Amino acid sequence: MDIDLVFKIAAIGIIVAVLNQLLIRSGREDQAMMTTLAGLIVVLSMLVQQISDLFINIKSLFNL
Amino acid sequence: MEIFQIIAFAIVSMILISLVKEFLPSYAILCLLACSIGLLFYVLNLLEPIIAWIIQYSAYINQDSFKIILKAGGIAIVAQTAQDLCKDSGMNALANKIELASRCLLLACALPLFQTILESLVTFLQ
Repeated sequence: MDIDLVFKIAAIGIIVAVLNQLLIRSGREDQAMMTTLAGLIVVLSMLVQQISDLFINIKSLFNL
Repeated sequence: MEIFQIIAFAIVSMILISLVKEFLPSYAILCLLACSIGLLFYVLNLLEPIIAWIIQYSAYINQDSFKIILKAGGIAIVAQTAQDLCKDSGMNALANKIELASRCLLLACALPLFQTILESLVTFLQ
């Protein structure tokens, strides 16, 4: 029950959102989109590891 | 008890997700995916002794039918989580495709059982 994973992703989301708003207000829309994309990729890479562990776990448990 | 931990985990992540959804909707789905995976991990740990018990007691009846039932259970759990995630993010078409795929797979893995029933039926009738 690793709640800290959810906290980490929520924190990244909020930081990226604030950065996004900051960059948009200061007129740099393209950089705002870049930071959002970068944050998304970071979170996705964390999640992919968790998903693969989950599938390995299910495969071994239900001997699929 | 474990149920209170699960409920606390779900409520906390629900609030976080609704907060993140306020700023960036695409992130809320990622957060939702992470939370459901965490919960699934916990449920699998809870399920471990039950499955071990089932396999142990399935030795009295023929072993392979229980293996198929366990396999069907695994397929159903995974497909259900993916389906709910797609529905939450508004992609009903994807959810229905996953549902269709899981039904076909379940049918495919249940066919041998059906075959044994038919054979035993034929032997009885002769």
